[in-house]
Amino acid sequence: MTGQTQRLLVNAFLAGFLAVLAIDVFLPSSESGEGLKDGVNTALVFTGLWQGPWRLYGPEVDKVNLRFRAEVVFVDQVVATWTSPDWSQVSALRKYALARHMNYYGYLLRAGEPAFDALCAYLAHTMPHPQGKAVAVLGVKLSFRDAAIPSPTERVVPARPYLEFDDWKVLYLWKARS
Amino acid sequence: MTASRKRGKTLASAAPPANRRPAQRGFGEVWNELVFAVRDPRLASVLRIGYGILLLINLVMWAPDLRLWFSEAGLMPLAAGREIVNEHAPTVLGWVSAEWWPWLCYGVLVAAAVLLTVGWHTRIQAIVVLIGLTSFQNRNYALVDGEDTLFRMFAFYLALCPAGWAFSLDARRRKRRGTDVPPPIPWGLRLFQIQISVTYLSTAIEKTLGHSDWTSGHALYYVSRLDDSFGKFPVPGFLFETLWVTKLLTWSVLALEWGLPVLLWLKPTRRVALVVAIVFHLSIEYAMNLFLFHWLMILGLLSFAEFDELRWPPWRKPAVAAPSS
Repeated sequence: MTGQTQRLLVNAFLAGFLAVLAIDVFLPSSESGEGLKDGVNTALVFTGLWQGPWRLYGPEVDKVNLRFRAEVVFVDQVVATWTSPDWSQVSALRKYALARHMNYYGYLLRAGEPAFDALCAYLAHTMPHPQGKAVAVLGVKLSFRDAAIPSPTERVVPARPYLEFDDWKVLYLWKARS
Repeated sequence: MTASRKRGKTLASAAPPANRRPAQRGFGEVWNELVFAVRDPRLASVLRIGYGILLLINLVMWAPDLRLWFSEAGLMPLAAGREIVNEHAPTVLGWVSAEWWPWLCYGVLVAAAVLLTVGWHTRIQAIVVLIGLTSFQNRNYALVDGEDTLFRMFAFYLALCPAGWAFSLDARRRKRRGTDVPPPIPWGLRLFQIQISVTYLSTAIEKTLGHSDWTSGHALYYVSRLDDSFGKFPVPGFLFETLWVTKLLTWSVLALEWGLPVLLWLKPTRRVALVVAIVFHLSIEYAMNLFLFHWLMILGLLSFAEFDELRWPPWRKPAVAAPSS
């Protein structure tokens, strides 16, 4: 292949790739551009090259600290409780090792029922009975609570993890399949 | 001739004739000069090694929880995983439901990452890494964040770069055979540069359009009170308790994200912009727990440097070496 042909091929590739990149990253979702964006999106997802817009804590940053709790109820009515990590008590090194756990709990609310169901099923299979008995699980109650950081226009709170949590709210009830 | 002195010349032609003013050049000529500028291909190899190390750290961190994240017995069985990801997202992890399958896929991915780092059939390894990462990320999308996107995109760009040209087993094999190949034009390095610029520009647009926490100047106030991602190392409290200081910091981030995509490309500002950008990412890395994201951004930023500039200490004279080694 001559240098000229090679250069032509590279330029053709770049023109196509940059156009696709621009649609993927910069074209806002709208009804008029939806078909084009969908087509590009499908191709990029399939090839592993999808990126979408880069938000990086934008346009609105996270404003809540979250905790999850699951109460695993055994057939003999004994309850075992599981809670998600208290990140304010976890060291920087440990957080580094648990980076994927942070992502998981950060995404859990958005993931919705499929993820709630899977978490409950996992806990039902892995949580030991508090008294060590071999008793089946009846169900799992998954709850969460949040500490919503107040707006600085209302009240400036100290610059440390904001931990004034609301009450627990039930998120999902899981029943063992008989 | 050093790579930095070669910068700006194109594959087929040398510098434009002295009697032609730059204003007379057409778009095609400027484009070709940019894309096919002769740069030291060893830079692509440095990016490959840096990428390989970061990827291996990422993969090592997956190992203790592989069963938890990617098996049927874990937190995200395949059926649940498919419900939270785009229906077209492929994953080889769904091909076999056996308990050992994620481990086999993981083993192949780790092997490809090691071979990419040492530069053995580099392009092939980069493609295997892209397929592997895509598969794992699509298998459990709940774990994915911006750094995973960068990992995938960089694997693709490395496949298009002469990333195995130097410091690699591929280079050793080439030398042993005694084949005298001219140094390739690393046009793929431009893709790294474009990716970094697109990342900054996209987030700047997202943060600026409409009334957001960034335009109001309150974004970093909220971030500094998050219990998971913030607070890696001690930071003076007044930075985030004195509102005007917090606003200044927030707007500085926004200004950088608007400015860097331009300043990194301009010759007079490139070096300063590069240093500022690296300091910016190191500062966030100091304060926040964002795993490898900022290291990947710094790696991508290095594509704006020339190979001879990557020396330590920076005041040491650049080595005069042909880029064919």
